[in-house]
Amino acid sequence: MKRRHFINKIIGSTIFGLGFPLQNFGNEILKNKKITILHTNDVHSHIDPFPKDDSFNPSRGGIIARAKLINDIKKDNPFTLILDAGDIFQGTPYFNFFKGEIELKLMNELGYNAATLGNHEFDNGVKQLAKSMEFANFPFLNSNYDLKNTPLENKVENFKIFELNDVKIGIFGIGVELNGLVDKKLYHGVKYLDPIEISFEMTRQLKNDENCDIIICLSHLGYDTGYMEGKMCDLNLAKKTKDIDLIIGGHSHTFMEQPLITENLIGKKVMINQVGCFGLNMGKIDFYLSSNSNYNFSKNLNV
Amino acid sequence: MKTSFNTFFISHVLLIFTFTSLLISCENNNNHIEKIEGKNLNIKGVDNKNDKLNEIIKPYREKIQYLQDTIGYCNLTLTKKDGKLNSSLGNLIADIMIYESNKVFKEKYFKDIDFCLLNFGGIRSNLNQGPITKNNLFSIMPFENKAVVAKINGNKVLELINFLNQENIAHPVSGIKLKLDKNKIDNVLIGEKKFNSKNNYYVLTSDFLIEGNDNMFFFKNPIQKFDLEIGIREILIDYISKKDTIVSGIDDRIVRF
Repeated sequence: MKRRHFINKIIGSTIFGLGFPLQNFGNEILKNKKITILHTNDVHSHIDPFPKDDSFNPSRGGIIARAKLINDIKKDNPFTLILDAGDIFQGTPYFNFFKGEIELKLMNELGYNAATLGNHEFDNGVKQLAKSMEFANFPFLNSNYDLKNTPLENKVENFKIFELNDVKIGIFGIGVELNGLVDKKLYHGVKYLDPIEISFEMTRQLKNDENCDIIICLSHLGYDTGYMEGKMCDLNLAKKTKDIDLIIGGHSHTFMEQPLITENLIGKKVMINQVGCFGLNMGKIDFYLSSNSNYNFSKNLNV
Repeated sequence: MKTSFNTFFISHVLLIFTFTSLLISCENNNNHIEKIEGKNLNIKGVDNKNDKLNEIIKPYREKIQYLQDTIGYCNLTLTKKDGKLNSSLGNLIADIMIYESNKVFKEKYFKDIDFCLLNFGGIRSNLNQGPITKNNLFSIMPFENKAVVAKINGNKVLELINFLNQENIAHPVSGIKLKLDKNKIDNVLIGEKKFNSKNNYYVLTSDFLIEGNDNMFFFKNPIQKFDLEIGIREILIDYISKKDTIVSGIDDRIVRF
């Protein structure tokens, strides 16, 4: 049994790894679906590209180049979601002078579907954040900030479910502890709740109650803890939770060459990705799903 | 489709993995994740046209266009990451801060600032070789933080030094000279004098850090706090506007054995 399991696993990986169509395997019909997730993080109000003579990132980034890339990918796969993992604000005069208005208007135009709150979203205080958020026509998702009795109450959703091509995608947001990062006056009334506990609650709802096919966590915790042991981060979140398929990270400005695949609490695979900062890069994650009828094939492959 | 990627590099290796264990699904739902591929794409290409986006940006851009005027010149590209425990850009900022703030502090309170400590994370961009604009300073120091002086005792300064030893990154400092060792700290000079844990010190920092933020707990509840009522970015802009050319580099203000 064990041996068969192993062989099946090998066959499975080889087939998928080389990109053979699933239909070639066995007689039964499998309908393939592809969902594309595009994501940014820590754009920090970088609307214009870096100048041509910049010493580090000449001609890179910029909202217009990002729009072009998004449009090209969307033409290829209309079942695409665009997400941001926080720190949309703060970093150029566009934010100092206009308080986030232009960043969000442009994100609307690019077709962003959801974002989470980074710590720098609070840089002008909760009241101004609530005001600025009104320019966004996409939801802000966060589940581990208790926002009761703050101007943000009822303006931030725990999670959002998107249905694309009959695939249910559940997305929830997790924010970093603001204490020590943001001036206390600016996040007054916002209570930080444990990301692990909240993630369990969110995945329970999204998987068990809502039957989501894909669960994504938009996290602004940061990729790792640096030298601070025990601090919360995406690596820890992945390790200590279950049922999350993809963690899209931010905060630590980590330029990952490629997404990381790691194991969750019960030994299942979870992907973590983050794309640095300042709108220099964009992550593209493609979920391939099979639908219907060939349940035995799946069982054969995995049990 | 492929040709439309011309202006972008599809960087990095295509990543493929099979989700071998996620196929157990709910009764009324028959979608199974078979495979997830991920890659990170570079965003590049200044020649792209997009009238609609430009139209949105235009009125905002026009209002801040004046920030693009040249206010000075930098003879070498400065960054916060070119040294281990001090950096060319961090040194420049801390040196300007202590030089300009001390004039205000002395005039108001008839005392001298002993040294300056800011935070590595507070520097958000690089300073390119060539003309310097106000826009550059907004990118380097976007926060609306103000200069403050904290009067703290020698033990708190020891805590501060231990913090620098532990953090091991180039937090901007000026007026202090340290040789760090794994377990001990030697030869601490503040100004020209040897550090004495029995003395009190006037330390220049920001109104953000004096609250103990970014783990700088030693700044919390100082003996006395002096608000200088001037923004850090404004101090930098004023100084650079008065100078012809900005010069800075790494030195030996903090080193490790």
